[in-house]
Amino acid sequence: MKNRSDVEKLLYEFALLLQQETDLRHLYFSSLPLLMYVFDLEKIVLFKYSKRKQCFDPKIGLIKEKTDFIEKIWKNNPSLGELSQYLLNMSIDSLYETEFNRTIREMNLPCNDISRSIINPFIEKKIKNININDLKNRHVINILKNIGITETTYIPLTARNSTVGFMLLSPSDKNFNNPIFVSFISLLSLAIDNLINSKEVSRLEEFIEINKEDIMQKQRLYEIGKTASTIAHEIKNTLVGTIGLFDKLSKHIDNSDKSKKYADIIDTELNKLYRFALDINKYSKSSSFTKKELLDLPELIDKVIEMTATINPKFVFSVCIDKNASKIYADKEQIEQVFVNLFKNSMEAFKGDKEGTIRVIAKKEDDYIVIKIRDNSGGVSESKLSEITKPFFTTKSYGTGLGLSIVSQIIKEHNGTIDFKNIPNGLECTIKLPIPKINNGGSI
Amino acid sequence: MSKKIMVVDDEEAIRLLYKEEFEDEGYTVIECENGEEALEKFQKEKPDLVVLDIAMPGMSGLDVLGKIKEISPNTPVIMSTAYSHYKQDFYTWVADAYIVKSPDLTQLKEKIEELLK
Repeated sequence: MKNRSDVEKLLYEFALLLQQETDLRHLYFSSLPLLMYVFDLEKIVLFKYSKRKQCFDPKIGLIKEKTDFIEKIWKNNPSLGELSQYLLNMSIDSLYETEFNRTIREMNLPCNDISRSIINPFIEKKIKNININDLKNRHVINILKNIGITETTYIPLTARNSTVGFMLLSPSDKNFNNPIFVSFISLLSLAIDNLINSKEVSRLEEFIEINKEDIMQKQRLYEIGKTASTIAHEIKNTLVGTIGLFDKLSKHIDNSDKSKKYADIIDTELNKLYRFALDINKYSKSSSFTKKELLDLPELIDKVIEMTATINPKFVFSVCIDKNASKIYADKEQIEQVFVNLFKNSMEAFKGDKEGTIRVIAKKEDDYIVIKIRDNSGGVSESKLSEITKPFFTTKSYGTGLGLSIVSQIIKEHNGTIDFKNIPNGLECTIKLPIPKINNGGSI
Repeated sequence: MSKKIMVVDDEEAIRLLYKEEFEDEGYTVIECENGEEALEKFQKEKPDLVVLDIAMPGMSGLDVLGKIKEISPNTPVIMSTAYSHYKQDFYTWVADAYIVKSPDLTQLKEKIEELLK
């Protein structure tokens, strides 16, 4: 048998090798038995911090009788190299498949219970002895007692200033301030942290690999969008002067029918191009400029009806807004644009001689204000229903195909949803806008 | 004597449109196609009001705005641009008004009248 200082030296040097481990579970089961052996421990329970679940997960339970194998190897007086190789390559199945480990892993501790009732590992970063009976939470006391832990030492596992987990060791009467022990724990924590980080990196790489096409597609669309918006801006800027000057010019042309007709066509086309450029600009406008405020929905709808009524004065509007749905939290200019585009769409799609109608209904449902806009303009063919909010989709010969894309984008920027469905004789659009929570927990 | 308006814009069509429209309203118009020219003419001509584009090659409208306000803080400046998002740029807060360019000059003319009162 080697003497104590030799054994401790081995433990330290082995800890350095742990940085090569590539599997977390193997890391625990190759290193902890050695720690257990050197410090003559009975039980080790390890909790790992899970960033995803934001709580401490019981991961490992190890008891002494399962670590006898180290003593057997030790008796043959192996070199550090031999021992390390053995531990780094051994199968951990027999250590993993124990009753004790299963009990630990199935320990059904609510997340908060651990940090509240044992100790808060985020605050407590020093080794500390704990008497289970001093804990506050009965549930935790019972669980720990059931696995035979009464007096235990709490060992925080921290690496690079962050908490990766903690261990409970028993018995608690060992010299855990031993520098070898402390170094071993730091190196173990570092190895755990490295593995967690590399796992995260590979998860991210995997995610990028799987979604490569999608990400590239988005990137392309982003670039196209940026270019389109620059072009649209240039067109718009140029047209401001051109349209203005053409307006002046058309007052000076001769009165022949031909000249008037040509001027009309040029005027219409220039204005169409101008609106198109405006629409592209609106579509690509960044969400960072949304300025939300509390708005009165009936007032807003009235204003938009007034603005759009001139398109087709024969249209009849009926508005029914519940009292508790009369306030929305939105960017005034943008939300007006939403209703303008929707109303315009209904009016422009309307065919036939009967009376055109638009019904606006607003209700509060759970945490949302639900606004329904129904028309009798004939609806959209089912196959095209899912396409109508896509940019440049249009059924009209004169549209830009951006109207509903702008609508859908604005609603998205307000964290809401928008859906379209066909109803008898027409289309129903459902907009859901979240009710903002105010600080005291109530809602506006 | 008629009031003097300085129009700063790199688009010739816009300068011409503004010039004609403002002259119809009885103003005298000084045209500048860039920021440097604007500063030079501003000192010489001492206009009563400036209509200033933001996105111009060379010196930007925001730089010109700063200089004009240094020279003559009381001369009203209207920022006129195709981008509405400059409204959020705090540099433009120094300006007396902010107009998004449009072929319809009603709003711009109303602003000018109001500022020259």
